[in-house]
Amino acid sequence: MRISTGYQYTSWTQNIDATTQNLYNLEEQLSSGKKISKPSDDPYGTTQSLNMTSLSSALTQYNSNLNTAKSYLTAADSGLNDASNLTQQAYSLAVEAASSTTDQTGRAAIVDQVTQMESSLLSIANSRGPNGDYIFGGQKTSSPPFTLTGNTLTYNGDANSMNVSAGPNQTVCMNVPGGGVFDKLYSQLEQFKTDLQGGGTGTISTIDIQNLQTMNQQLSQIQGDVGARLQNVATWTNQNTLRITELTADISNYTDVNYAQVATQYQAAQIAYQAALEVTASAQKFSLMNYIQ
Amino acid sequence: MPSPFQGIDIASSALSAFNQGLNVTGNNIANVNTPGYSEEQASFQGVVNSNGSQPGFLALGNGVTLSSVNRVRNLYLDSQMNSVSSSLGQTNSLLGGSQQIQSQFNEPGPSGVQSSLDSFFNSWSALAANPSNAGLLSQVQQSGETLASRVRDTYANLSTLQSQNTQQIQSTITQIQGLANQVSTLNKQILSAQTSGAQPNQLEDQRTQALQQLSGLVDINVQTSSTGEAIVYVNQFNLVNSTEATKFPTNFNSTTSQVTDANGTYDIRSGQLAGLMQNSQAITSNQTQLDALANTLRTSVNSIEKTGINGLGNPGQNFFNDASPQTGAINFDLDPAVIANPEVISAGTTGSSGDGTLALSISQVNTQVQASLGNQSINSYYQNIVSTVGTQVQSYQNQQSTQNALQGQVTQQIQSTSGVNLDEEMTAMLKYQQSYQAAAKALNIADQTVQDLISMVQ
Repeated sequence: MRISTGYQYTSWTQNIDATTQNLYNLEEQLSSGKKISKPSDDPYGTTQSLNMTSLSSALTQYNSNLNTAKSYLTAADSGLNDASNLTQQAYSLAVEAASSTTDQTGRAAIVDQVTQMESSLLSIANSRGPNGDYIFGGQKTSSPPFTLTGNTLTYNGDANSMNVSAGPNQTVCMNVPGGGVFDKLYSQLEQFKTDLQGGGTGTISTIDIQNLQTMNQQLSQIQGDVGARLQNVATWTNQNTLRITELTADISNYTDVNYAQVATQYQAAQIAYQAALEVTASAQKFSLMNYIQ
Repeated sequence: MPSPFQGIDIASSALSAFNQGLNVTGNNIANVNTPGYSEEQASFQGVVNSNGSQPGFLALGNGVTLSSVNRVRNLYLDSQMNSVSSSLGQTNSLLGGSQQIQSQFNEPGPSGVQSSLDSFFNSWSALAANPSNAGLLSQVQQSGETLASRVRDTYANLSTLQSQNTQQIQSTITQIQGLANQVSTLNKQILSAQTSGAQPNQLEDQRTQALQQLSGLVDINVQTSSTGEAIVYVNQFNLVNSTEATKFPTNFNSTTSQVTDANGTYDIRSGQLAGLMQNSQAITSNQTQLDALANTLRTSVNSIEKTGINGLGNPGQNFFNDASPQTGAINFDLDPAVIANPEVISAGTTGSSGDGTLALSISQVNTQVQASLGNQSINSYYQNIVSTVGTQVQSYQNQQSTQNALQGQVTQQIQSTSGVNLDEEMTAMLKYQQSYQAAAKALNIADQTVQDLISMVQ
């Protein structure tokens, strides 16, 4: 095919242009460290990267929520533990009070101890969590859930759960509403005191001991539930952490430059660019004009 | 017996012809860099002796004359070039437009809408775990503001692109008119040159160039009339007829890729103008999608919020500003009451300090299927917008590459036929130079013979 002079220059210029463009693209990747600087660099990779970044940030938030749940549940567990110890102590006193070896003086002394227990119980029932919330009031966390009117402990909170997000389709309940627990225990302690003062060991052995036993079981059950929730919290936190690590690696695969690979490509591109320049320079030397005298 | 001066006549005709040959070669060399220049070739013809038909006469020629200077051009290649230029012009517009749309989205990265969507929904999740915390309420407000402003700004930037694009369409139409006028003027000049017997090679080159430039702007169909004028059609519209250039319609409809004037509606199918009109459609489509995203965010968050009671004990209210009918992304923002005081945000339905049920619900909205987004979640709808924009750019880049290669091939073929090769011209110069020298020598000798004849008779 006949080659015109103009076309020769055009084709040299185009080759230099093409090799320069390629060189520039690789330089950009090396200096930014990113394979994807805009969606058109890799549309599929971009979508994956956006999706995974979104998921990864959500998982980080879930773990933060789980941390909050952990401190709430731990505080609840501690309060329930104290209440449980208290109940067991009351139980022992009840057994003692019901026995034939205790006389009315002894029973009067027990009344004093029970009064002290009631006071501790009030303070446990109105426990506060690490951020100052009242933890046993259901969703009513800003004021003490239990109030004492005369000899009755009244529950002012609600029975609602405080749920937090623990995973994409996962929630965990982090509170224990204290209604029907601490107020019931308080009234049982009051009953015990009344029976002690009345002097009748009959009611103590049948009702009070029975009550305190049942209460002990109830508290155990609740504690078991809280323990199970704490276990879940630990498991999910670990799972989320592992998943975050995986996602970080995946995102990097899509978006970060593989330096070894790109450095090699860059060297090849430099050689191509040099070759284009050399060909242009040397081909220009030849012309009929050089040979005509 | 032939005239004694015939030798001189013959030799001098040769000198004249070869001199002109040198001029033609010189002209080719001078125009080696002129775009659209077609190589000229001198065509010589022997001069016939007027007495040559008489019986008894030997058929002696009477020298040489330059019969024509021909422009070496392949008209089929020219029409191929026009069609390739149209496609390339369209693709260049489309690529430029789609790249500009892409750069408004700032993805992937921390400054894009996706990142603000993530922060927004995560802030509700955090609020659910501590519903009365003033700092977390503030965080929800601020991340909401960031989200709204990014959506709003992207929309506004696309609007700016749209008006720039419209200006480009208008200026392209002006250019089309200018080139059409040029072609018509050249038509007239070429006709009058031909009528007076000249060969308007340069004018024809200029007309070919103008038509090629015009084809880059809009798809044209060029026919040559019986009197040699270029008749130009743009689909159903006659842009240049045998007497004049008509007025190209200035009313355009980007949605249908058509232009209209008082006489009708005409399609625009290729060239820069078609590309720009398609760009306009792409911008509108992206804006429509942003509207759907904004409206869905409004509806889904507001409807949950309104069922609540906030920490001040007041009924829940709109989180995002709302109007009936919804206004989309153009003024997407938080409700003024929320901007003024984040405490009006409802975390729950009861107003209790530990009630985070609504915050929890809202935090799950971004991955839920939304009917208003064609049964996609907010996240996947947005990611789809971004990926489509990126895929478009990639596809236009590939198209441009292919079409550039095609245009390169056609250019090569045209250059092969019509381009000037300096080595060839150098050789031609040598040829004419030597021929001239020989003719000058012949003239010298013919002159000598006449002088000998004259001196013989003294």
